[in-house]
Amino acid sequence: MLAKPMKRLVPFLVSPQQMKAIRKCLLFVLTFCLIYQVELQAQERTVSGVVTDNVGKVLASVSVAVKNSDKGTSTNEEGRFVINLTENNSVLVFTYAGFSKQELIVPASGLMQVMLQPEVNALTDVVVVGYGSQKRVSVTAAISNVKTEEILRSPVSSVANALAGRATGIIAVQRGGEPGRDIADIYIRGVGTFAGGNSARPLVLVDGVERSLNGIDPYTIESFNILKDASATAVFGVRGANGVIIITTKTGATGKPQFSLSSNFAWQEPVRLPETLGAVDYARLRNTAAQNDGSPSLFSDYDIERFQRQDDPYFHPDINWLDYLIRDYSPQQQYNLNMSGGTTDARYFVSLGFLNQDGAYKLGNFFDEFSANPNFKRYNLRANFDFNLTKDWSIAIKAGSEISNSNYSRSNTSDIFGTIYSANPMMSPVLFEDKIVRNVDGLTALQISNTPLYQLLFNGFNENFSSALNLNFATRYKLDKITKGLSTRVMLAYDSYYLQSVLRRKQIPLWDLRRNPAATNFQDSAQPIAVVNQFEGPISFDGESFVKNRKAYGEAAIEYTNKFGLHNVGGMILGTIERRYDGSNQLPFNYMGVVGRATYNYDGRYLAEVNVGYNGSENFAVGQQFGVFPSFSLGYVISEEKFFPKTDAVTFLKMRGSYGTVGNDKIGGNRFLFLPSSFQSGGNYFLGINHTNMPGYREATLGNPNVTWEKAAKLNLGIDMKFWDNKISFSADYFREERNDILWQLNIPITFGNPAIVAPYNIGQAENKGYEFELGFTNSNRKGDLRYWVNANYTFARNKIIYMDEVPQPFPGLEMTGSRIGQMKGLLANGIYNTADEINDPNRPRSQWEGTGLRPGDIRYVDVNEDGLIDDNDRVNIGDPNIPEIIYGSTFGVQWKFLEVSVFFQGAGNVSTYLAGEASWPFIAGTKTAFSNASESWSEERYKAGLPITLPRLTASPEAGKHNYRQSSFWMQDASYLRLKNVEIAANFNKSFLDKIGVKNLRVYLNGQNLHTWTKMPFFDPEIPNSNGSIYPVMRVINGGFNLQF
Amino acid sequence: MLYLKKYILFLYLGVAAALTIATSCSRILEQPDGSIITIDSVFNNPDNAMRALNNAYATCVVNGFITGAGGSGLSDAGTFDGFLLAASDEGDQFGSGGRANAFNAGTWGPSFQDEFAIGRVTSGIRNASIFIENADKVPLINTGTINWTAQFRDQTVAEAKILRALMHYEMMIRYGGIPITDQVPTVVIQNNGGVNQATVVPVATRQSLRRVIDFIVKSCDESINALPDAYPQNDLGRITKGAALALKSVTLLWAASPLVNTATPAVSSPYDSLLCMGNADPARWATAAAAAKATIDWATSNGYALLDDATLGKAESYNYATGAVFDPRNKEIIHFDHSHGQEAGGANVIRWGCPIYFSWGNTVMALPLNFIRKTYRDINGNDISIPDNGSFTDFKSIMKRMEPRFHAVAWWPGSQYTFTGLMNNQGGNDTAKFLVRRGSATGTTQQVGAGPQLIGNGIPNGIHQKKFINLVNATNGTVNLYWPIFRLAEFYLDYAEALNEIGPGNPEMINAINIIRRRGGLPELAPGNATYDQIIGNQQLAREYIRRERAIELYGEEHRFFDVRRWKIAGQNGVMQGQFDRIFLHENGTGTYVNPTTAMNAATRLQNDNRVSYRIEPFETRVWSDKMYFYPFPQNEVNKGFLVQNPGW
Repeated sequence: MLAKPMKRLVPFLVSPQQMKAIRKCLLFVLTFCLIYQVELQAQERTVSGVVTDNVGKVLASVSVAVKNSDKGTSTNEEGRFVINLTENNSVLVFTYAGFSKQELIVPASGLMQVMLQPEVNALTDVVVVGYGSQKRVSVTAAISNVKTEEILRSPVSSVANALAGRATGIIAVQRGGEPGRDIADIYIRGVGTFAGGNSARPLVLVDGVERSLNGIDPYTIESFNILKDASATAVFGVRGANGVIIITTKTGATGKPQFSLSSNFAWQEPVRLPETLGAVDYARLRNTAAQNDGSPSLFSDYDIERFQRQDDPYFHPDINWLDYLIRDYSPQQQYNLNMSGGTTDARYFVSLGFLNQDGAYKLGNFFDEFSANPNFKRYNLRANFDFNLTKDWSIAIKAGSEISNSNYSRSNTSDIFGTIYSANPMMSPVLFEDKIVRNVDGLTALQISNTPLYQLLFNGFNENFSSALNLNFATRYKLDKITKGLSTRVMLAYDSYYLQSVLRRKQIPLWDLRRNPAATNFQDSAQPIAVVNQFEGPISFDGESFVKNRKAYGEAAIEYTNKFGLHNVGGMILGTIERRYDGSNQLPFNYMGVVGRATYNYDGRYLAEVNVGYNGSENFAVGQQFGVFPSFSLGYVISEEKFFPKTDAVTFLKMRGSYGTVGNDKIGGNRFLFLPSSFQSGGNYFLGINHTNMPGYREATLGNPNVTWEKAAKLNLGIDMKFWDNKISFSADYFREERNDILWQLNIPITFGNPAIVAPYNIGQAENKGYEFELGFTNSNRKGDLRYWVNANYTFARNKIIYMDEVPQPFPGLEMTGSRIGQMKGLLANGIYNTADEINDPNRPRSQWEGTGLRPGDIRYVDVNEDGLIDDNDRVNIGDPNIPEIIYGSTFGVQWKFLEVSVFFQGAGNVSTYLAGEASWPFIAGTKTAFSNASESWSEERYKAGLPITLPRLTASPEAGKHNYRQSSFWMQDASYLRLKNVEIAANFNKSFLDKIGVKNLRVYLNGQNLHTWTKMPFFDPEIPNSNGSIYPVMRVINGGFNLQF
Repeated sequence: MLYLKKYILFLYLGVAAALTIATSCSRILEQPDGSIITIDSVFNNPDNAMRALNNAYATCVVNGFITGAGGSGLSDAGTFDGFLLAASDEGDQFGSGGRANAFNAGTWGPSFQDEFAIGRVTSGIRNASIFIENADKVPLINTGTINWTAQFRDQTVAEAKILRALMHYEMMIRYGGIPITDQVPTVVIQNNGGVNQATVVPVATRQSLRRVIDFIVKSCDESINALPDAYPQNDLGRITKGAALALKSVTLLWAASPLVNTATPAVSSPYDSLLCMGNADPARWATAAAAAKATIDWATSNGYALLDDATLGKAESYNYATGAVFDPRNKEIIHFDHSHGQEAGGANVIRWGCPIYFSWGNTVMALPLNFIRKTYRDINGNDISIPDNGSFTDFKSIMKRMEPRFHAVAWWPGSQYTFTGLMNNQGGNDTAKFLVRRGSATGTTQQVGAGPQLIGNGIPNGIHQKKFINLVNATNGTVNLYWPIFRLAEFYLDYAEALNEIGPGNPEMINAINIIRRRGGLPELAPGNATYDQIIGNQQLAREYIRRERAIELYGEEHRFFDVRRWKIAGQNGVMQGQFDRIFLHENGTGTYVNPTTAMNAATRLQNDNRVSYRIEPFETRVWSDKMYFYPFPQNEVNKGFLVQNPGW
């Protein structure tokens, strides 16, 4: 009866489901009004309300108790409760598994909007472990996790880019910002091996199967767990030594369909771009460089005057290439719509995601036919279903698909940025009447190569299409009938990946600019005449490539868990098999293994666990394919002991330790090294008057029949504590790992012939140790409308090369043994020679590279070996490795009523970046770019005036072989940083009025990533790799969006 | 539902069983099998075995041409980015980037030598040894392509032995005593105190120079009789009996030479036996002379002779003798490297070496003026005099009077690139671009003349070497390149040198010299001839004369660099140290010189030339230290603890 008028009242409502919801709401409001009236009449009043979680999702079955009474109720499926109170009872206690207990004073209105906050490290938390899950309280391994909501605060395209500083143990470095190619490198507890390639990277499992982290839609992540110690990773056997990341996607929750729509729109801008010199400064300083070299000036006073007057844009151009080519902002959009719900017997989660990330090149669309600007579009589809077929039998199907469509310039990014940093400001006017300019009269000496614009365009473009399909089918059958607690499960997975990459190009029209021969005055002569240099061609096909991978995976397990009095026992035996075809004609990559786990705890106080992985791959010789990787761990929850004082001060205290061995078969990407020594075609020679090519056979490899995986022996000691009524949590871990059998090239004398054909042997040894801690604090006022929290975590990991059969070195500083992995060697710079007296000092060590002699303004190196000569023997460790040893993060958040603000700082320490070449040296080859610090190079005047000096004296030909440009600490940059990594301001509109329009929750937010960075690193983002700077810049992202739940 | 549950249970058991079976079945873990070419499969068939021999050829290469950065890893490919000639007094590589300059500036050393890739040589030795050790496994069958007889097997083993000995020779002339590798080296892993270390058998320690010489000579002696005098046309490039005789000859000449034929080496060292023969023995000259004579005798009886073709003329005959290996007129090359063949237009060797065609500006090769002054003669065999200053016209006329072999290797401003007219349409004619200083002797430089723009600073050293490259094809810029390893002319010079050391005035010595002079376009030595009268009976003057003749005849063929070491004269002023000169042209007054064109008549050209003068000026001072008589081993190899470093490094 009510439906018709309602329809008129709210004409914007369209769906019958929503109509139904509205009807219910209305009914509720009416009921509520009735109750309210009743309450006015009686002494006893009725209180009602809705309980939601922190993101506005209603919570069913929340226990609502009246404090100091035995009265209580619980919320219904729609999160609602109604309870009658007497005047004495004014405080309600809300408790729900996984959420913090809340005590709230009943407001006079009797209407309550209750939001429960997820409990930090809740005792009831379930932690995903290898091939299963455990209650956090009984976990004895070192496992940390990142919360989905924290990942979602970061408006980044790849989950990997949101991880640094969010949890202990993750060391992440984002090297660049190109759309679709900006994925951070992740290491767990640092780097434990020097075998090279990807050998130090962790194993990443998505829903139990090794899959890429990159394409995941963050909105579909249920949990993100990081398995760090041997106890957690031994079950992965030969693949677990570098730690394991396990991502589990969301599954449906019982209840009505819940829709969640998220929409984000972001602006990206480079975090940092170098400041380059303009034409006038460039010309002046370049002349200074020439003067220092004793060569003639490149620019006349006339030229400099023209540059200054900026009135001759063609023959005296002044281009800031970064401004010219890089946009101030480029857009990014991300959307997700998901739906979840179901009954107790059938639940579903279906999600549709879309990401569109645009690149930063301004003139990428110069031609209508193609774009050389990067663009990355990703479509994510996921459908996860759970069915309980019978009381004992359930199945789960998880299907995910990632489709991406991307476009790039066919020129390598490093070439494009390399050209930008190779270009001087006056090399070319770039465009003349929309024509791309090649040669310009009078600029030839400066125009040594094509312009960056040409570099961006001339190779054409590269269009990629990829589709990845991930399918999991899992089933579980409880065998309680045989014996209580016994169950068995099988999981089968199939992945396929397809990538097509098409290359197209066109001949770019080029024009030469000539001076006007008829010119009689400057105005006329400044107007050039354009002559064709190269004609325009049509777009043409230039090749394509395909990648086709597929993988099948299966696991089957028998699990057991039971309780005998205070004894809790658990066990698992599981077999796995994996076969992966990488699309080339290689044999498939295979893994097989058996995993065993036994857990025991006594009364939740004494915990013990044994994990054993027994697995192997096709990559090792028959008979040596399989290895056993055991681990043992113990835990002791002291706070459960009777003698432990029951106070609010210390509410929880657990100590845990683990030890075990794990393997790593990512040994530099080598396959079948055990095969016997072999020959291959090659070594052709030519004979006869016709120069006939005579085929040869040459040695290919000398086999290593005993090749095996790396072995890591890992120790972990940890402590978990909670204080002050669980408001403060603290966790700390110490770890130590010894990595043996690292595959490494033998040190073989050259007389052997060709040492490169000798297969590497398992000879290397390294250690990696460190500590990490995590501190959490969360509190709220009694009313529950103000909540604030602080989290901090810190990870430190330092490795050391113990043995690598290194060629003995004459001086200890030259050896890699004892150094850290990735440690750079170089000369130790000690300032700059400032005076002729210093240069002429007979005690000054001579430099091997000083040629005709050093001069004031040259770098002073330390004669480390004190032989009076600066040469390569004076090299020592310089700086820190390029992967940070320290990563830390800290979040501060406050929520007041519907407003929420969170601030995330993240930093890295003990990390250095070597900037050489274009990234550091002005005027390379006499014509390349110069950054603004060229004006801070050494000169007598600057020295005498006491002005800061950051570069040696200028030269027009800096080369890596020259004294000042040798690999030295002078060019090593401290790349540690502290970032304001993320800020989010959000408003949660979950007031009841939203219900009227069928919306349960609306969250509107503004967030930003990489907002500010404090670092000593000059010119570039501190996370760029050792390089000459030709890296696509990392982006700052400012994002606005909303999440709507209905 | 019960049946369903049973079914499920069954399913589980099935899967579990399948997994169990799979685990026990290693087929799942599939591995490659049978597709590996092992040493047994290579040497069980003559065709495959020949491929192993081809590989030995491909890695036992002596090749003075650069083929790219680092010479593509060839053991001896000039210096990095350049020709080896630029690392001695016969040449210069313009610009500081040229790696040959390190030799001239004295900045080369254990970690920076950039001439000799020792790893390539040892891998050649290894490959040859693999063939030598396994050839007798090959069944004696005829496959249709190869008739593998015992005699043929012995011949191929002999070829591999000479290749291996040649690589030892190349190492020996640089380092002195070296490790002798007479078997395939193998790796042995040893566990030392818990860590695994690798060693190699045979042990990689250096042997005395005497033993190395003996090893090379023994390898030659063992092989000579098994080798053929000649090969069919399709096999040209393989080791002949002549190549073995030649290798023996040059090895014995090295052993007789002043650098090593002594009890005290050029640099004092705790390991003298590595650097010298241990005593001074004049009899070594007789051995060397006999070996040279044996080579010459073999050559002449097998149709070899110096190329002296009337239609080519003297200069081009000499030119073709080194470059045109397959020219039917050329019977002079005993052994050459066949790894190049035709190089494409714009190939590095052309760009780096050619001052005109694809000039790379800062890496062109030049002839220093002081070398020209002390070495080359005029067309009559008389010393030339080039004043320090003069007019361009005078300079041209001096250049034109030079002996033919100079014209074959040098290009000077205003000269034609080649007499056969190759490259003329690429600016190789006598109007090709060159540099003059504007206005005065110290003015800024500019490029004048026709043809393509010179890149960078052009060709400021004045006179450029064009040997090898002046056979570049006019239309497409390609060139056929075959590095001459043993050329008959060398053995006449070796023979003359050794005879003079045995005793002056030997008529056979004069005869050998005259064979060289005759083809070189110089009057023969005979009584009444000024040179003859000077040197006859005067061992010292004859020695100097023979060395000078050798510098001219073997110009640019990687002899001078080693000869000045062998004679122990590298330290002399103007050889590997001291001031080096170039010529520079400059205008007499501002803006007077106009670009010459082919249309100019002789009078106009002369008038134009008279507006320009030349000046000889120093361009660099070179540095020498006696330790440089012997190369340093790479520091990294010395650090491994097997090789003793040469003294001073």
